[in-house]
Amino acid sequence: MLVVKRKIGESILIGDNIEIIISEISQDKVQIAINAPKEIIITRKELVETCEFNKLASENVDKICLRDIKSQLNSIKRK
Amino acid sequence: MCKENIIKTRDFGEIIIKEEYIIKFVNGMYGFEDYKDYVLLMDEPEDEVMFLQSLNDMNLSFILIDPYVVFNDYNPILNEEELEELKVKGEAELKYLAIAIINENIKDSVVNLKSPIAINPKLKIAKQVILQNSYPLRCGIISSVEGKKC
Repeated sequence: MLVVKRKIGESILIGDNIEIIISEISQDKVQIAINAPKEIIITRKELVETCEFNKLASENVDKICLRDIKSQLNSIKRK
Repeated sequence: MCKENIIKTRDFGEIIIKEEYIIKFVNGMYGFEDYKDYVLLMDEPEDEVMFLQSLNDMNLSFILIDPYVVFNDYNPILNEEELEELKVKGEAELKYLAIAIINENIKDSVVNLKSPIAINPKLKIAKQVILQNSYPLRCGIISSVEGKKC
């Protein structure tokens, strides 16, 4: 993985037509601005991961596994 | 007011539910945006595991657990827009449920603490929110309740 240090206002280029600009930095957050062609889809990674998680979560569940996990949760709650 | 509907469910067969129990999702769930109406079902009262059954597709159902069982200090932070959509002033007015993937090997079962379902219990509206908090998207259920890390 390539790691580069940038300051506010500086940017990096990816290929010929994608620019990522560092626009603001606070204690634990970075605001970035992205210039890219319209056809490039830009999404927050957790959004895609949430979709994938939901797809897996919607699959039918084995009743025995479900019963096991319930009994574990209930026994822990009683402690 | 008390209209009752017979619905078909994935895990409970045909059941009768009161219309007031129907939860309307703002934007649906991620990846299932077309399905907006759900009911919460459980095997018995006070159960730790709940089913979020779609009313639009009887084969669509999610397993939910109370995130506080997994993580005591769960403290979701929503943005202004999300609070407005759910018609509340603050996070404390909402109830949170986390979606689970139950694995055949139950030790590998995980729960999503990053994108819970936030429900306005008074108005019965809900939204799956991706939190600002840096919570894990896949948190091991058993390891967490046993006091270990996700």
